[in-house]
Amino acid sequence: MKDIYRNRPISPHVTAYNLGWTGSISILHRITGIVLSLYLLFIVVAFKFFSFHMSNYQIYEIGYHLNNMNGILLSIVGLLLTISFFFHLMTGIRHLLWDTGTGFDLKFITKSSYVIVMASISVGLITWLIL
Amino acid sequence: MVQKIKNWIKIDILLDYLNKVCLYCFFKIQRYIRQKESSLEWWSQRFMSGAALPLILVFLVVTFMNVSQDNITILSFLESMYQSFDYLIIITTIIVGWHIQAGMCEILKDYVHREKLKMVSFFMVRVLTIESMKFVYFGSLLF
Repeated sequence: MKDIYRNRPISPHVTAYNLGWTGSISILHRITGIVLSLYLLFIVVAFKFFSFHMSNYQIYEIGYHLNNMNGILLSIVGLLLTISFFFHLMTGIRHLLWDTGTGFDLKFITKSSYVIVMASISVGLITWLIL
Repeated sequence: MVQKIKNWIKIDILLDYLNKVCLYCFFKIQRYIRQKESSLEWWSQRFMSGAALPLILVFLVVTFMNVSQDNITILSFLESMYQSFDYLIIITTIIVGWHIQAGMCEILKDYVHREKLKMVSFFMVRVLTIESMKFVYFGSLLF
């Protein structure tokens, strides 16, 4: 493709629109989906990497120290992941309900958005505390 | 000699008839597939997400049941999971992997506008999901 198609002028879309509750939840559905898929990919790749390069002492040392670490940073990351998992699940259920035909009025949307946010945070906290 | 020729002619007529029937069936099937192809992607997305939902919930319930015991290592935890349901983990990985592939393809269609890069990235996403599924399968052979 030619260079004239790369930097073509487009109208402002991020700086101009105020999304509010509904718009931010829909974009968070997409973002949580990406984050969760990258997390699964990272698990697989990290496990394969560590098991393949186990003969190298420095990489083995990194793995040993990571296993013994019980820091706050990693556990906060785990909390965010559980919250995002349940968030994605509930917004997915809402999408399927919209596909059947119900729930296009504003009452349902506002109520369900509150329910989703509160339930995802609470259930995420409970699972993170158990695991 | 004449009877042999007559037999050959009958086989020719039969083959012509069969050819017409097969072409008719083929074009009917082709028309049906072309009519339904447009909704195939939509239905496949909904089916994958709808099938993933109960499987994921069962997975979570099984984890909560098995975590309460004194399982310290990951291997013993996975062994307890496999004892309850043998084929659960493999089916969930396949369906969730398909769901991931469909979702990432939607995102790439929205944000990537170069044709070659788009096609290559579709392929790479599918390769990565199949690699991760292969990893899970080979790991499950331990149990």
